[in-house]
Amino acid sequence: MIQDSINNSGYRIGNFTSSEIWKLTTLNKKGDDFGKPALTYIEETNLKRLLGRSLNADMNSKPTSWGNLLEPRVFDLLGLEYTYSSQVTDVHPTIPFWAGSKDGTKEVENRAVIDIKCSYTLKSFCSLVMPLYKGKTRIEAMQDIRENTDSGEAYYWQLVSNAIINNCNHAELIIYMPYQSELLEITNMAKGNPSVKWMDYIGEDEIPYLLDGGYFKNLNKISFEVPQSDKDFLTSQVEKAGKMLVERFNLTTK
Amino acid sequence: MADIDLHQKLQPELNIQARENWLKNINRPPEKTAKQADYKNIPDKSDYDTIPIGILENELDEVYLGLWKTSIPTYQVVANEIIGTMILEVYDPSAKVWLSRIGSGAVTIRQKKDSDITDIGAKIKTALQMDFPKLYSTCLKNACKTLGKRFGRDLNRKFEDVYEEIYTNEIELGSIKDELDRSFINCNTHADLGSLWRNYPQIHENSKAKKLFEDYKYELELKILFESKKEKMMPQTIESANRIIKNREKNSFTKLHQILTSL
Repeated sequence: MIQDSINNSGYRIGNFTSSEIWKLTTLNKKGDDFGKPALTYIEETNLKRLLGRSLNADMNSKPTSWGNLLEPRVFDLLGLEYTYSSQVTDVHPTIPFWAGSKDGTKEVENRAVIDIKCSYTLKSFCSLVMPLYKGKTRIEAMQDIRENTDSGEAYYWQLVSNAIINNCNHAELIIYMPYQSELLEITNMAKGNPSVKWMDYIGEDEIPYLLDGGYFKNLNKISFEVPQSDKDFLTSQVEKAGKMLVERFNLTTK
Repeated sequence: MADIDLHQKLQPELNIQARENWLKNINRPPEKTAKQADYKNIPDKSDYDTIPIGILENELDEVYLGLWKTSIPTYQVVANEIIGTMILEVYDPSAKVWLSRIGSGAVTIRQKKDSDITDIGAKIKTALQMDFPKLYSTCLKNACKTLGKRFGRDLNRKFEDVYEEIYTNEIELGSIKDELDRSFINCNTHADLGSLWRNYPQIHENSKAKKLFEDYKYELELKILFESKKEKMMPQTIESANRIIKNREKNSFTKLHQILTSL
């Protein structure tokens, strides 16, 4: 399969991306057309096409920079079967306006795309992992997250989208929260990193962490097979939305 | 560090390699310097190197084909010193623009030995006849230093850096990188890697190439380590390690290295 992968955000701007693709799955009350979030997202994507840049840059917010700081650490905690590629943007093999940056893959018999979530609040972490501790696994655990957390839908469709783009039938959500004993190492990792400069000014109790030996584990995984019906539905929604995209404004440099 | 793509996008008419070559030339050490003590009797600064003003002006003529000019220096008297600033402009032939550089300096109004600095009566009667023109040369020397080492940058400085043609190195290496990568895949011993390095003498001074070969060396040692530890590994780990080495998954090298060394 021929597929474009690039090391910058160029392909993300003005294209539908996995992280926001859930919006395209929303429907109106009748259920026969796009819902409000989808229409707003299409409109914003069109604006980006005209501007040639993103509408807002939220890359330095605490939750985002916290996640970016911890992602490589989580990868180090995973086994050799995992690959890490969060800086690479993949483009759908046949739909050029559909892109996504998976965090990596799990190279096993049932190859899976992975997404790492490092919650910035303990409440958010608990709500994501609670299904596992209630004994739910696989798609059932994912279904629980979709129904009971604010970001559940976004996380689920992000994985579905990346699975489609990367021709995978499986996906894995990895949820991480450091133990208290890991904090020293993490603050050392943060030194000299301007996007997490805020960590210099806060106390240990303001950094989210788990007590060592507590109820929750630091690393939690939900692996599931992506339903073909959801793959088909998302693909048709993206194709439909694609018909509403405007041509990009041709930027010239002086 | 700015990236080469951005430069090429914003300044498509600029020949980056020619520009870097120009900058490299004006960042060679100065051809003629003198010990300050040789022409000024300043015992405490006898070790200081300087470029005499006449030589400096001649250098400006030679390098910029006489296309340089200065502003009238601003000046102000502070106690027994005159301080001033001046703008030096040179026409840069490689960038095809006039560049402005600011120089500043101070000269002492000479007084009789051991006198108080506030004692105007102690001023040598014709001191400014020599001291005021010296302000011009001091400011000019200071402005010239910003042009490059050839004009006195880093003279008498404890910490100095060498101009590195980072973009030229990148372009040069970029043109053969795929070829090097393909050859590296067939390297199984240090001797193979050494032979690959010797086959490309044109990149021996290229810092990016040196870094690339350091990475190759690390990767090769990982391969060798893996071969030596294979017997102690579980089949699934062997499979993952094979994949990491074959696909050159650099993000996983450290992790694999740690696992292999712990066996």
